Amino acid sequence: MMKKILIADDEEGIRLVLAATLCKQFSIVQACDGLQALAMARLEKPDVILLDIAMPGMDGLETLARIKAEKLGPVAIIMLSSMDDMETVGKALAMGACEYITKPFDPHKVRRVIADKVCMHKGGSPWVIKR
Amino acid sequence: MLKDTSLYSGRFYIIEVISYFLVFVPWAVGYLGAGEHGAVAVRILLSTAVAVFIVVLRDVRKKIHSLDTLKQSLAMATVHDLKGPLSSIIGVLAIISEPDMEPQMKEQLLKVAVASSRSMEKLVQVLVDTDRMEIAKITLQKQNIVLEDFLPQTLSGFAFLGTDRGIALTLCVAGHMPPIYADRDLLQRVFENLLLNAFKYSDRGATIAVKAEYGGNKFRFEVRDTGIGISREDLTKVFDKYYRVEGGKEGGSRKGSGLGLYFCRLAIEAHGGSIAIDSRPGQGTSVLFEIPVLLSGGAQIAALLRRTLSGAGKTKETSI
Repeated sequence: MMKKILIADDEEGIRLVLAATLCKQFSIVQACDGLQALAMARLEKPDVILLDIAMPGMDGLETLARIKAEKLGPVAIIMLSSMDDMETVGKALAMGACEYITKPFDPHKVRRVIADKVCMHKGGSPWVIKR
Repeated sequence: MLKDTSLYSGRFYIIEVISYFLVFVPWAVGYLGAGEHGAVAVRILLSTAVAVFIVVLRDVRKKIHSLDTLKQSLAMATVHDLKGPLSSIIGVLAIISEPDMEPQMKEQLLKVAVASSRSMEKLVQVLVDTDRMEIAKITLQKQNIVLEDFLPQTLSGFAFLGTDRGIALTLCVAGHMPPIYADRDLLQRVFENLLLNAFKYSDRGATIAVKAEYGGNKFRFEVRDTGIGISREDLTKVFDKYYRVEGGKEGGSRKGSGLGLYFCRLAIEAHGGSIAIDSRPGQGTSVLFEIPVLLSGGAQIAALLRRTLSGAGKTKETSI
């Protein structure tokens, strides 16, 4: 079965670019703000979440904290934000994000990072999430 | 706009440090010199004067510093706003030529790239415009504009947005308007800004109505939408620089530069006019602006005469 990725970003263009980048290897679900991302994380049980920070309502960091607090199972959360100051990056990583990619991003790098975080065992056995 | 004030701030800092030493100068002179008793009062006076000078200087420096921080945070916000669409463009370019990309997806990606470039262009344009208007107090490139042609032309650029989002866009021009003597470019961008806002804060099924009428030596324009509206506390600040109303439509279109309505105000005021806004949350927003008749070598008078002779014209209403 294809692994599932949740793309949470308030910009439609970014969501489409990411979906186009990843749709061949993964099944994609999308959210356009933090609250929706949280709801989708509960409902869809994604294997990876690509999470923007500057979103309306609940921002990405708070979403990250709530997902972590709810212990929704093995999910690799990758931050994808245009904020590149060390404080925000450090905070996100300390809160449990496993990777931080800054915008503007290279789609190939996103693919590489996801492949690195989500490795498949030989013979199509279940995926293991590297932390 | 981001004129470097840190230089001034730095100079003030040096002057301030030097003045700290100046406080003691009158006393030092006293010790070195004859040390007359009468001079004590003068020394106290001089020292107090220098102390007051330092306090004033500190205040000025603080103000400049806070202006600096504001400008820095604006620069950061602008950079952030530019990075979003830039990410989309770079992303599209990186994957669009991949061999297994379906034509349908390619087309969608190209649309994203075009829309993102447009939004970057708009942001840069509004930054340049406000800068131009604030600093240089630009001279308006006035010309006679026939509103019956100008308004449909300007609105036609938004027709696709209307169809795309299921929002009705209508134009109502009170018949036989005299030509308006104004800066065409600026007037067009005022309408573009107002229409963009109206679309930004409207959902499917909403209506956006543009009205133009003439009377009492004034042109009156209205852009009214039936969108989500603006709260009372936000209303008083929307024409301020960098003010953004939170909670528009989801998606990238929600983010503004905080300069759109500020620019409109500057542009309308440069024409000697005024702009006002009225809104009710949940019911919609109406932006009204007036531009007084600015005489232009008889063109308007001739048109007014024609208008009077032919009687008041019929109101023309069109759906864009």
